[in-house]
Amino acid sequence: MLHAARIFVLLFVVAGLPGCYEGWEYDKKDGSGDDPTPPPPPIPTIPPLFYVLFEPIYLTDDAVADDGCFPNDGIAEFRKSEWAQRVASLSAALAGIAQNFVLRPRPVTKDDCDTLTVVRGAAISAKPWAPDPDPADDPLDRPLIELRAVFWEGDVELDPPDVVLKPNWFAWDKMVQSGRKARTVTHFVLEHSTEGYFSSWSGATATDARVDGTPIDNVDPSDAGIAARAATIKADTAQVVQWLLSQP
Amino acid sequence: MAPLPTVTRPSPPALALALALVVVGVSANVTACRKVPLIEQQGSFTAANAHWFGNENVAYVFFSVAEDPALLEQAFWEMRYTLKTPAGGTEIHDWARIDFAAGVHEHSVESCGARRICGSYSFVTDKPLDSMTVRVNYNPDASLFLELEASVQAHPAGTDASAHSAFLYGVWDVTNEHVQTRVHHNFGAPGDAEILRYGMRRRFRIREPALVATTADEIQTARAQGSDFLFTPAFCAPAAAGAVSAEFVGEKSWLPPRFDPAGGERGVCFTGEFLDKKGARLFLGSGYAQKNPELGPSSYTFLTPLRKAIEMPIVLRYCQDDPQADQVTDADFFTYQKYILGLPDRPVDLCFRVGKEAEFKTAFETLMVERLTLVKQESSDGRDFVFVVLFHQNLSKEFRRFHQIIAESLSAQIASEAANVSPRLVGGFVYDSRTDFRPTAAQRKLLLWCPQAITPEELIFDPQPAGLNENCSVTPTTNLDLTVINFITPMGAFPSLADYQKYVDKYGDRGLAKNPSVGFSSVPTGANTRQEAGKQVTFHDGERLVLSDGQVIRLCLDKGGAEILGNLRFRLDDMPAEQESFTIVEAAALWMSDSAAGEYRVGTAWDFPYIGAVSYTSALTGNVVSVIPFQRSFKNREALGDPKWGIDRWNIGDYMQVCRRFCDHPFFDEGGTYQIHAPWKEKEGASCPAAIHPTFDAASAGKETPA
Repeated sequence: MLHAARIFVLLFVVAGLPGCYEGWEYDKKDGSGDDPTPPPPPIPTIPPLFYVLFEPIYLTDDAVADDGCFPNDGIAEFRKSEWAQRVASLSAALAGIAQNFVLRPRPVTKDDCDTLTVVRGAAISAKPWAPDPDPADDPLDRPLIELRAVFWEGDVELDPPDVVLKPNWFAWDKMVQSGRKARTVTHFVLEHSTEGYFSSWSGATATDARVDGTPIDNVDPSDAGIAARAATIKADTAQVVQWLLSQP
Repeated sequence: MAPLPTVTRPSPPALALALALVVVGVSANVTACRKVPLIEQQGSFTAANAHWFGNENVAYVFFSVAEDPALLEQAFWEMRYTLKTPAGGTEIHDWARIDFAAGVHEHSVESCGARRICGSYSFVTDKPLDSMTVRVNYNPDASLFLELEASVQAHPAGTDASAHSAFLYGVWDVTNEHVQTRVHHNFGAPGDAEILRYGMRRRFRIREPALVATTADEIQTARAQGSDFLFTPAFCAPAAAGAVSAEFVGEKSWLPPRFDPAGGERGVCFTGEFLDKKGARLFLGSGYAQKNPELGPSSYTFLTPLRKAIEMPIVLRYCQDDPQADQVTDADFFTYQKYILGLPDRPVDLCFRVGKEAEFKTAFETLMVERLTLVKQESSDGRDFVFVVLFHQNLSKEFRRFHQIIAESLSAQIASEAANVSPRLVGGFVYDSRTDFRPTAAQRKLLLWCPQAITPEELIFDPQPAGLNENCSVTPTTNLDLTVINFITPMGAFPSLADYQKYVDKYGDRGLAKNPSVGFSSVPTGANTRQEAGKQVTFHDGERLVLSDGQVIRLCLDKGGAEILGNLRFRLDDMPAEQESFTIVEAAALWMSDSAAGEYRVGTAWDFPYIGAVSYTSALTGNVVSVIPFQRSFKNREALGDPKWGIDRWNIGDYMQVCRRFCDHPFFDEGGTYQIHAPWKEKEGASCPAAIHPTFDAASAGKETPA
């Protein structure tokens, strides 16, 4: 009897090779025999912001290495890493809430660290987003945001020019005047801040047009300090995003 | 009654299945077969060569047949040949059986390989051989045979090498005391090594062997006129009479007399007679046995001139009054660092804090200068100095400014003293607290920076990465699995803070090292120190390597540890000052030439002119059957820097093969083959394998040397 059962199993296996019995069929893709269920189509989400131009202002590496621009030699690497992480963190977050995101850094070089002409140039630029195209019209009439972010160690003994202190820089002012839903916001992270260019600019900026980050003045040089810095940056980024989304 | 045998009958279904299988098997067998053609398996001659030598008036014929030997058990061999008559005619000798017993020499038909039969024959004729055909008949009662016309060469009488059917030459035992005469068969085809397989054995007689003074030029002339075997050279006149030293049938024979190896004679001349198998002379010639090159190791030993250096400790610690101090220091580890460096009670020399880098740089450089000035004032024994820096901090990787300052300032200070005459600052050792800082390549030539982490990736691309050779590296702990007793080796002498903490957490011990002792040694510099190719080259008093006329040296770079020679430099006294010293590679070429003789000053090139070491008693922490913990002490020692400088005495002679005489003579190689065509001096390569020489056998002297 057992012998017969073995023969039956053998026949069944052989017979199964050339074709499938009724109720069976070859597997189609993954070998399981079942059609994979197609993933559901993504649910379209509408980014709350139509356009964000992000303009971080910070010292370049060669400027940081220069004693005249950045006298606090011992924390140079710490600050460079911090600023790079802040720019990266904010860029990632802003790209997630804006339909159009443009990153246009305003790095301050060693030769410019006591004149800051790059900041003035950005303030009076007619197309600060160039070479990207001009911001288009939004049929949904969502906000167009210019986010200026200042990441700085100490300050510059210089008075900020009027064109910089204006609530809206030139290009954005024109959009506001043309009735577009444009808005300028400034994010200040001024560390070891003293009197000077950036503290004056910060002081002259209306509180409803600025969102301040958390300056890391007490630098902890241990590995724990590095971890704490990452947490601070994450929290500051969340605060900026939350603030932008909460604006009318 | 015997039980009836039982018969198992297959059940009907099983029987049917068996039948079906048989049917299927048969049909499958039929279809799997294919028809193959019949192939004729026939023997054939594979070679037939015939020679005639006018010096001996003997004709030789050699032949080989590819055939199953069993089929030729009753075979007989025949030959037909023609001779040239002096008048220009042809003398025909028709088919006749070959009577091997009637040959001039001993001949036989032999199996000479798988399905191969070889044979030879010789006969006297004063007329040159013109043609030769050999035939083998399978059976006296059958007409089946194979035949082949031989290739014929006639060698008229003369003195050229080609006029001789064999050369007699001599070789020596390892001590150049005894000569073995050897035969080289000169037929060309078959080759020398094949003659025995063709079943021919010849008889020779050796007379009057004697040491003969010749010159290298005379030997060279003889070689050019005849062959490398120096048969019948101009400086060896054959003697028709005289005492017989040996008579043998075969390939070689030791001569009974012992010769004095000390003399300047290059070899032994002897008279060689070619005989027939009954002992009648066919030809008279002479041979020459060139002595082996006199080789030996060099006894030269180089004493590394390292002297104990004076250590100048500097303890650097992150400032305790800084708000971040607790985050970036560890009291236990600081204690360990001081302990292993032998500075348990030393206070902090300088503290540092983030934001005060410039102040630290100034203070550190000032401290170094002060310490150096003081030690130079107090030192009176000429010893060099080494800074030993304890650098305690646990700053993250983004705070390396202090590391950079220490590396830059310390290496600059050392470099500024590089050209000074001892006593001087020769180096610096820094015991850091982390592994993530590596000095630059230039700094690493002056500093030892511990510990260093070598990543697996670095080891893949470079088995000897920079940090491994010059600085101490953190090696992973080793688990020694002894089945029942498992030992775990403790951390090395200079662990990082992270490794130290892991160790303490795991074993509850705050550092098992005991009796630590850190020491550094350096090379004193002086008037004999030169700057060459970015390295200091120091020549030391009394270090001389002398090669007299005729001596040459071969380097044995195939020996383990030969890389130590790379640091040596050699100078002749008459070399211009601006000429750089010879490296070992340059010296190797020079020493194998005729210009090798001279008195060479020996020095060392230093790119890292000091070495350190730490010794301590450590412990193995183990478990017996994972239950009972115990510890076992053992002594340990870790070298810092290049370990070769830890060897006091370099036996340079071990890596040299010195040839004192007869360097242009042939030699025996490592396989025991006599390289008669290649003088030892012209042998290529820098390796010195042990040669195998024949061993004198007194019992067989004068007769054939047994195989």
